[in-house]
Amino acid sequence: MLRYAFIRLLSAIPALLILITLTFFMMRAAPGGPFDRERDVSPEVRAKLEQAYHLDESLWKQYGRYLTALSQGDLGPSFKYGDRSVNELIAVGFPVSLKIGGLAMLLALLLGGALGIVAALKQNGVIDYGVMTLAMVGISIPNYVFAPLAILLFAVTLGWLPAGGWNDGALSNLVLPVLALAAPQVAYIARLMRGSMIEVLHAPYIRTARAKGLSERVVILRHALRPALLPVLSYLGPASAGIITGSVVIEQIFGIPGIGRYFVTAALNRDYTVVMGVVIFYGVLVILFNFLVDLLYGVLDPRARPQ
Amino acid sequence: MSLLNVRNLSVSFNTADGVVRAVTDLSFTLATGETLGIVGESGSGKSQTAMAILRLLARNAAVDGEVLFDGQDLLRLSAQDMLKVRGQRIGMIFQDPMTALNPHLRIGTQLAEVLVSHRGQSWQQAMAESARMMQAVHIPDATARLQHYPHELSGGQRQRVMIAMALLCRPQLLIADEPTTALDVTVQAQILRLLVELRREFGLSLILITHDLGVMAEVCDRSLVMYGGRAMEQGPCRALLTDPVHPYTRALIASRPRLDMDVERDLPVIAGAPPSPIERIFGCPFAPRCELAFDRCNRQMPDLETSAGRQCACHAVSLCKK
Repeated sequence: MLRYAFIRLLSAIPALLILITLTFFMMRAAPGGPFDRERDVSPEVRAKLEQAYHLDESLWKQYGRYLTALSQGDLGPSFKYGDRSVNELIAVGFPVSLKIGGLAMLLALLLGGALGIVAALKQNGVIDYGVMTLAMVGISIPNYVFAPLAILLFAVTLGWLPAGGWNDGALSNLVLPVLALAAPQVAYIARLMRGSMIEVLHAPYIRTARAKGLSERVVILRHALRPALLPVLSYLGPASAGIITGSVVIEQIFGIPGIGRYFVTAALNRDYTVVMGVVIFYGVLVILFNFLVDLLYGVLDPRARPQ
Repeated sequence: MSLLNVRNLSVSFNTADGVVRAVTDLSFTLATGETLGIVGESGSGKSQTAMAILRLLARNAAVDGEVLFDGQDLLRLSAQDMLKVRGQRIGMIFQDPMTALNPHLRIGTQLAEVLVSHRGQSWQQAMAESARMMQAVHIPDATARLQHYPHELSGGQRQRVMIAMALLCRPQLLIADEPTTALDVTVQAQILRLLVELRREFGLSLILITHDLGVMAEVCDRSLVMYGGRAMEQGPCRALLTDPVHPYTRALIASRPRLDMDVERDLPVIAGAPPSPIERIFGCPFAPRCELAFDRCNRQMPDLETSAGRQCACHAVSLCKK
């Protein structure tokens, strides 16, 4: 088991290296540089700045320098937020992003799972069609459309919730961003859960469970739920990636000071180190999440346990 | 009084392609302690008959008739009361033990939950009793096996687990739906021997569904031959095998391969294919493939003729004229 975990984590290193390399060179291939937007910079000052950040060196040298620092856990200084390191920016922004991302994931799992199960049990009934229609809508509407519409309805028209801002993560400030972030995932998980539950309910072992005279509740909770959760579980990897990319947009729309927002600003400003840092951080996060999902798979399915 | 009395049972399914008639007007009885073999080829309605008795049919099924079990019509029981019949008074085992056990639960859980549900026993008690039942079906290391998952057991052992599971509550009736079809031949024999042994030990009445005449000959007292969802012939197993009356039974027995036969050249087959269950058939379902068929066979289903413990439904042959 430990050996398996070790090998899995080791195999993440090449994936991260590819990610780092691609991001590094793609960032540099983009036109412009971090100091293009500064006004009235004399050529001397500019040269000094570039020298200070080693931007005057060859790309390969910079790449090597970055990798060396990275191997010591140093993501470098931000070009834009002068006195702060990328590590600091992530340390400040991540708890905020984690809060809305984690809540969105939880909501997606619980609500999506519950809706999917109910729809499966009432297959082809009114509830089923209702849930599936809603899910179709949820999947089809992108979050950058959903979020402003939600703001318009709940903040502007009804005045129930604030239109944006963080306010130290107060509940009322969390509701709309979490909803907007979770909506497509809720919809997707509901569809996934419904499909797999319907399939499992046709399995021979469910017929056996019924032939044993078990109540419908026991049949579903003890016999059907676990196998039906497996496809949902394998979707959690992509779902985490979806929530991360979603958070980049949602944090921007709602003015939430998470790393997603730093990322957008950094990308526009060619703040190389911040972009790199956030991409690497997200990469590690997604890899870790997929690893956790694989471990959970073994918990749910005895046949998938590493020998 | 007979333990099970099925009267005019009909099962049909409403599908997008139309109404599928799986069983039509089927009647049979089973005495206490008796073993009835239901034979027929795939699609003859034998499995659906079993599922109808336990009311485990798919939601789109329509069932008509009566299933009197110990004088009670199971088809008219409430869903709640039916739960007390399944697993407790009627046990059932299925064809493929590979898929009939839940791959995600330990063997022990799947056994013990029967006792927990029906008898209200504690899990600990139920586990101990499950281990005893595992011993009764000759699974070595029974207590240790309870901790295993189905995929860690061989096919034969899984079928033994299925049998143990079905017998935990000491049911009066065991329905075995092709219990040996998915197993190796040597394992088949072991499982059949086990069923015969348990039948005596537990005083079981047994319905054995099979398409294997050899299996039926070994285990059953009486046989029911089904074709196209209808009873063709019924009678004591030995008489039916040695002296079949109905043209279908005769053809079925004639088409058994024998060791002294060159199967590629000599194996007799019944020409044609079984009727589509979706067509409405007014006559005998076997008529299109029957050598003895005449006009009336296609128009009108013959009645079951009863004589000296045997029954046969055929216009062309008669039990008495034989």
